Amino acid sequence: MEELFTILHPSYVLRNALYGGIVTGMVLPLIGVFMYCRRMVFLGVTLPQLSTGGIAAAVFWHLTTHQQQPNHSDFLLALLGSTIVTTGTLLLLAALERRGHEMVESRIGTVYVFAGAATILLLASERVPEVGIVTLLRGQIIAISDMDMAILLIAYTGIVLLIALFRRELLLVSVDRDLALSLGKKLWVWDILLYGLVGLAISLGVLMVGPLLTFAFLLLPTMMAMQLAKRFYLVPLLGGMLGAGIALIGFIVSFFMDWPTGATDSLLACIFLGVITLGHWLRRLVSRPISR
Amino acid sequence: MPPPLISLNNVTIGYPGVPILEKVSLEIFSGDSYAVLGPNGSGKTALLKTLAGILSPIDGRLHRQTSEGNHTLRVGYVPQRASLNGLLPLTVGEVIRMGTYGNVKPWQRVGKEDQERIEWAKQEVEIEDLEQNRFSELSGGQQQRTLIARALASAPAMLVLDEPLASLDKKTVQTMLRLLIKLKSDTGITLLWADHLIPEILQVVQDVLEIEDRTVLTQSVEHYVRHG
Repeated sequence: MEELFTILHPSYVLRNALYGGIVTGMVLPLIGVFMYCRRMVFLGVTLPQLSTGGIAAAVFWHLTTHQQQPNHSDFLLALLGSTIVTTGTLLLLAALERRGHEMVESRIGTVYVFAGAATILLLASERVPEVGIVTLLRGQIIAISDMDMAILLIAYTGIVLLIALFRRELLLVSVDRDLALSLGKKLWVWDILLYGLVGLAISLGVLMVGPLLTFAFLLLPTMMAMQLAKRFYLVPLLGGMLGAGIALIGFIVSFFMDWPTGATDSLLACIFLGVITLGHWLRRLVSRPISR
Repeated sequence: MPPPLISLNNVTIGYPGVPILEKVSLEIFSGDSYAVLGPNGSGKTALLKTLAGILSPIDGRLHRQTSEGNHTLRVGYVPQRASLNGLLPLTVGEVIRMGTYGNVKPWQRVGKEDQERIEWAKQEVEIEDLEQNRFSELSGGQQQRTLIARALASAPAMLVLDEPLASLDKKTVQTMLRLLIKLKSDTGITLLWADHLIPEILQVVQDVLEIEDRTVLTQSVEHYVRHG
């Protein structure tokens, strides 16, 4: 019990890892709701991989042009590279979707393969030293500094405020695009805003907790909330609370079990989703009228 | 004679790179009601979406204005009901409120006037008691009435209905017809309605927009019945 109090105490040495994980778990489901509504689940896997490629590209560019390892500003550099690559590719995919005739999924799959291969090749370069970079690509949850934490909080606060302010427009263009157009909404404006928010949130998530947990936080709490919420407007609130709860419980479990935090959180999210889905299924089975 | 709400002059209609209807010239007048008739895949939905402002014309000139000459013509579009993702836990109240999102600025709450219109729309299509129900769990007729209420909540000058009677049983079709005739007589709203149930639809409308040979012919119901 004493150890539990130690983890939760503000002076705990890994407090930023704990707080960062909780905030990431709270914010990513808010973005995940719109991705779920737009049936962009497959993109949820691809974008974190792409974001990882963006980090690797930013570090590679820095080493090539400056001939030295990134210093304390590497978090910002990685965030910038990751956000530009993620948001830029999202916009490109959206533009191709409007014009092209091929399957959208095939393009997303190609981007996934390309991003994964490019990341490996960039890191295999002799110019990129192994130490230091790997923490950025895995999610540097343990190593996060107070400054990085402040950047994270400011960026996440901006994301949450923009979502809260434009929730109706983002919902409309995600749920019913024809209605949005008939009401005179300019889809491209709201699409760019949403893609920008998705790109930034995913980049922060990947830097904070790594690509696996970013995907888990984006979609699993949203999928749980969709089953639990009686009204749609409760889904983002519930998803955020579930994500934050999973991050907190996962951190405590990983501390006591000495397991990696990201994998523990992801596994917990899967278990929670399994239990909620089973409960939902049983409730529907029980409430179904018996036919004779 | 007042100016038309919508006028099309030699317009090509379709999806980007895929023209479906060509040389379409017609006028839609305030308070009139039109049936959009044609076989499956003839371009009824593309025509309705163009008139509702959802699709841009590929070519030609389309002009929209209110009966007062204002250029912001509000059109209530009622899609085929399968257009909403059934996995989302949207309640009837939430679906209808979406119709008011065109009137509300991001930093504003839904105002009293919009709230009153929502209540009126629910009464008009007789779904007051379904407010808290999940949209995906409603019957086909209830879903269609909810989508009509959503369109009415936007304070439209014109209502565009895309096959509202599709896949409904006979009793529900009669209920929907009664509701739409009542709505037309209560509000005098301009109606555009595409459907396959021609005898039913012709009870409600005055004119027919018939899609034939990749273009649109405008004629009265009487002329259509005599020669159609």
